[in-house]
Amino acid sequence: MAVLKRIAVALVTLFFVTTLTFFVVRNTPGDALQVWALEIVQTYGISMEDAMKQVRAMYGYDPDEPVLSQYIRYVKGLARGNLGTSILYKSSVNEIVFQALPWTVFILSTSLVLSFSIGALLGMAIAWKRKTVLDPIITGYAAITGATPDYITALILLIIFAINLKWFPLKGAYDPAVKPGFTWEFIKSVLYHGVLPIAAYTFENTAAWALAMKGSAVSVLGEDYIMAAWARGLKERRIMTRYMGRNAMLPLVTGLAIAFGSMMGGSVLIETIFNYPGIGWFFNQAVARRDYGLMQGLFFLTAAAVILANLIADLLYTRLDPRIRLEE
Amino acid sequence: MKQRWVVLGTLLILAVVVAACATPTPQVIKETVVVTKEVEKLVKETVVVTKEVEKVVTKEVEKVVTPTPVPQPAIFRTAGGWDAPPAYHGNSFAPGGVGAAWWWVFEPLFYYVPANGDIVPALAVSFEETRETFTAKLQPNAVWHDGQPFTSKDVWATMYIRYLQNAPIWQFLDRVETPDDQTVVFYWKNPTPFAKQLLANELIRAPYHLYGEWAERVAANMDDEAELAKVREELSNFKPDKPVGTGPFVVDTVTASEMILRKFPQHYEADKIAFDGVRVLRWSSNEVVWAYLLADEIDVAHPATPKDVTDSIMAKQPQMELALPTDWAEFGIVYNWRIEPFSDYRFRKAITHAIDRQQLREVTYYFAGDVDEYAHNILMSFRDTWLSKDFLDGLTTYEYNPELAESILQELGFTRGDDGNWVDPDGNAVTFELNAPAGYSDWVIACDNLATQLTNFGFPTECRPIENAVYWPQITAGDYQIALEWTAVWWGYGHPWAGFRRHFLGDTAKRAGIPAELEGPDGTMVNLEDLVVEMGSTFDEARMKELVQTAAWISNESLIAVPYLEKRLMMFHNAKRITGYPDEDDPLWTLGGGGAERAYVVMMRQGLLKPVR
Amino acid sequence: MTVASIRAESRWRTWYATFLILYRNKRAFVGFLILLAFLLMAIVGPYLVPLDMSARYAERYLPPSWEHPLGTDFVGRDTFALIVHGSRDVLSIAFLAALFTVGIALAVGMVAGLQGGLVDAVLMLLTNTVLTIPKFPVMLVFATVFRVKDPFSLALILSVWAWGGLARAVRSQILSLKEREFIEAARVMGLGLPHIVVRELLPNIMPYVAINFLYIMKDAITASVGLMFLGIIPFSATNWGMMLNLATQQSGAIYIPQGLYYALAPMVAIILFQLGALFFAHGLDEVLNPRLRS
Repeated sequence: MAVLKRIAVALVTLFFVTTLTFFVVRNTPGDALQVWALEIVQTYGISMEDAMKQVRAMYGYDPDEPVLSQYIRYVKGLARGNLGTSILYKSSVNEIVFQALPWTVFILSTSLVLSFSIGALLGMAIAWKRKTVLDPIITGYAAITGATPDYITALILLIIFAINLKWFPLKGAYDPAVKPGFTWEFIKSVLYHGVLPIAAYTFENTAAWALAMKGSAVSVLGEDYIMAAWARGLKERRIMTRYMGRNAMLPLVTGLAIAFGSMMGGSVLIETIFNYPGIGWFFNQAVARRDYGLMQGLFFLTAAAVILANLIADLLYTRLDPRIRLEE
Repeated sequence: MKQRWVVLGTLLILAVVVAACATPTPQVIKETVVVTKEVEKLVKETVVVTKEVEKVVTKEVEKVVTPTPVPQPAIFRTAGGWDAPPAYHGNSFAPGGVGAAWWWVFEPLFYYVPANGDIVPALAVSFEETRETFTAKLQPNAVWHDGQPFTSKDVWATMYIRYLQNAPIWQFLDRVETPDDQTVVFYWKNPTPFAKQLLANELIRAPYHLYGEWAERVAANMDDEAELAKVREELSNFKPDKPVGTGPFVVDTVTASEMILRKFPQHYEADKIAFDGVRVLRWSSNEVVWAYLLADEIDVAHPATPKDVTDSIMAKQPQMELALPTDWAEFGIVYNWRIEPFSDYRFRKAITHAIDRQQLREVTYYFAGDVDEYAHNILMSFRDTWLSKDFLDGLTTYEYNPELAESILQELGFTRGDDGNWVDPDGNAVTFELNAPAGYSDWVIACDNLATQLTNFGFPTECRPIENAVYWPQITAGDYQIALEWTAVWWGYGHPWAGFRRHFLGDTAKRAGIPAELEGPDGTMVNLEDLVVEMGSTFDEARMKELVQTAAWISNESLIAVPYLEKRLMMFHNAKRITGYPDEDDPLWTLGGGGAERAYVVMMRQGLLKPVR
Repeated sequence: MTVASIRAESRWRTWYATFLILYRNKRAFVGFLILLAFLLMAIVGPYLVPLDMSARYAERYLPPSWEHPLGTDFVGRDTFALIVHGSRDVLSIAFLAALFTVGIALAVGMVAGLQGGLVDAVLMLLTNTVLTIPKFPVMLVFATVFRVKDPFSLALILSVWAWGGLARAVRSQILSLKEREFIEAARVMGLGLPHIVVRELLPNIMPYVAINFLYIMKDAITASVGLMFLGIIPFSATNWGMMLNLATQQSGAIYIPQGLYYALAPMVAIILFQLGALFFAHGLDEVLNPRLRS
């Protein structure tokens, strides 16, 4: 019953957010046609006036349709699992998402899992043994990655490992000479091309998780049950992982859930530096060109993912911390 | 502990499997040559070629991993943009189409070299021009990439589809006729001196066998807006996998990170094209393109690059050369005439004297061209073609001269307050906000520098960049004080007429908020629209020059916009793998402004560019 | 001696004791000194170091020297002066933004966690909305309405969209904490809600919140660059985040050896500041959480 209630609340939230987003997106200020026309001018060598006319003719948005009827059409579509239509590309948002999202999910989920698990273990270790040299090292590492934009980390990795050493490929998700399919050669190529982006992302985010874990673990350390565990003579390792770690993980699960959810928005870093064919490129394009249809679809996807992830996190708490009961 | 690792491993494997199972993003277009039964023989050849290129590509990619100095097949490597799959398609008339392949797969009737008016024939072998008509004889050996022969009907179809797109040529064009398969006649309703420029901008990209039906409907319903809208809708839903052109290269593979084109062996000038293919890396940001150039990943690219980065690219690639053709526009400053004190010409003059324009150029775009001390709206590279020294001597100058600025302001009743900043005649402090489009570093850095200059001069000025899509309409609506703006915009024509049209009637006029009439050199009021219209239609060269001078005079004396640099295209070209680039001052480079690939494709067609074997 | 003076003295003693603990903890003391240095830089620095914003192109990317302790930037301005003059805005905006963000997050998270039921549902709806409403279009709408200059409103704008994640984390911790024995005990003893919140709950989540405080400060520095490019706040060449952005993306400083100092200066400033804060927080843990001292 409690679970059902949670799901109902999540659905209401989603509906609320979707509605709000719809009207925010439709009211985004700015005339994207000028910017787009300028792009056309500079690549195709025609005059600005020509480009403007051409762009107007290609932009398939009918501003005269009442907003309310647009909204109803959009929500009806969503109910049928249709994320909408890109007014620019005249193709369904579902198709774009279907092709672009797996790449984003592949890179980001792998890096997220890596950075979270490494970070959480490190955080536990430094909370546990506060006087070791590991603590200042992790702190320094955190300060450095905190201050270096992921953009630079990625660029430095690219310059060292792809340009100078030539160990890893410079760009793309796989070698265009390899035919995509469920073959070992293709998977190998995908993994090979994924190394640098995953490394960049993991390197950037591990320290933050470690510090968050440490902060959380420190507050758990003073708990009576930890004392009790010591008194019972349990093994140090067991106390660290079972008693401290598990309890300290609790607030981090929320962060992880949100990170997983917002992953659907793609990562500019991966799209621009590594030329990875993820969802972020479409996101940027949609916003820059005010492709309302695509914007809405992608924003909805992100919102749905965050809300779903939060719901899962909420339900997980009860398993991680048996003291919490779902309220009736 | 163990459990956690099991979970972790499972997740990892899952992630990999998900990625692998996913429909692959690229639209692999190898099989997509549109095959028609009549030309089976041709098609077989094409398929053979595809296989060769596959091999070619594999070798080329291996190069990245184990560097071998000279790869066997000759690939021309550059960077460019296109819409990522699945949005990518081959319909050049709908958003998402063609992208960086544009100049490689499509051709105009002829190329027009704006610097000297030279014509480089392409799909037309010859033409005849009268005031009312333009007759082109077509290249008999031209073939579409899908094997269909190229005829006059294809030119016709292209022009009518362009009518659907409101192409500017239709402001002058009345109709297009095809007396025979090899002849096209353009009939002008408004004869124009820019016929060659207009036609050179029209790439022939609507093969009749694919687009003919729509073109026919357009031709039959030229005044029926409802029907045209329907055709527009249908046309934008047409999405072939790859473009079908007549150009020397054919799109082979498109992924999010690269685009591979192979040579089109049936092209009528195939013997002159010394390259087996073109590989285009995605231009995701200028910084990434610098990295490509530094690493010799590409042979040519044209990113706007700061001086020191340029130096380091040149040092790392000793055979790298740099051509700097004009990009057919200048960057300038525009004041809002609607508001005080900018409504007063003398104030605009004073503040302009307080601006060190050369410093602006140096700081923001080192390799751009310097402008002179005027504001005549004639592109600097072509100033001497249009304006004589005597004429220039008669113009008011706006050189950097803070003392002069100071004295003009004092005449206007401005005084310096206790803090050294200016106070207007009513005793109010004067502060400004300067706007620039965010997202372009050269604009933003200029904004910061100009704001500092004005602040140091005693007008505390704040630089506020504004998001791109918001910026342009906002300044057009007149919601600003001082803004950065394009001036002397000759895009697409290479002629001052285009610049003055924008300056007096178009965007710049709206942004500055100028009236319909301004004082001319002889002291009478000149109607700006009449001036621009006459300039766009006169065939009399002497009259043209006169009109241009009048326009330049008005522009300078009323100070509509102050240019601070002439934009130049930084065309990096590495001679390590490719030889035959023309000298850096060769007019051919001016084809690069508004399409860098156009310059390279013409150089190839002329047999200039060759791979180093 | 009056009562007041005794109190004053005892208060002074408490401070002194705290200071001693900090002083004995080497790492915390180093952190304290670093933060003090940043504070001094922000308060008196701009009066001591003159800033000339004019461009001197020939003097760009100079290496560190007596005249230019951190070298010069891409148009020849003194990098050290830029950093010093930027510090006041950067630190005050970052601090205020973090304060507001943490304040909102704590309030929402605690009330939601403690009250439960309908209040919780409504607050979480709000939180989820903040987490999922697209920021970019909203900020663009903001930009057309507001033109912000003062650090206070800027910090407010930055925090309005930043508190969601932390609020959820706080809530989840409160959910767990409120079932614990010592809270139950406090309730049974009839100690009021304020006591429970201030004495029992806050100290338990403080270390986690402190770390987040720091990260929010850092994010605020980067986020203000974004606001500059949207036109919500004026461009500032002394903002550390903007300096970093200019160095890495706009001026290409990281591609050229002589540009290294300019790129490193804002980065090192942020790194040092974070290190100081982290070390200091580490010491505070031990002061506030006596059970850790052993």
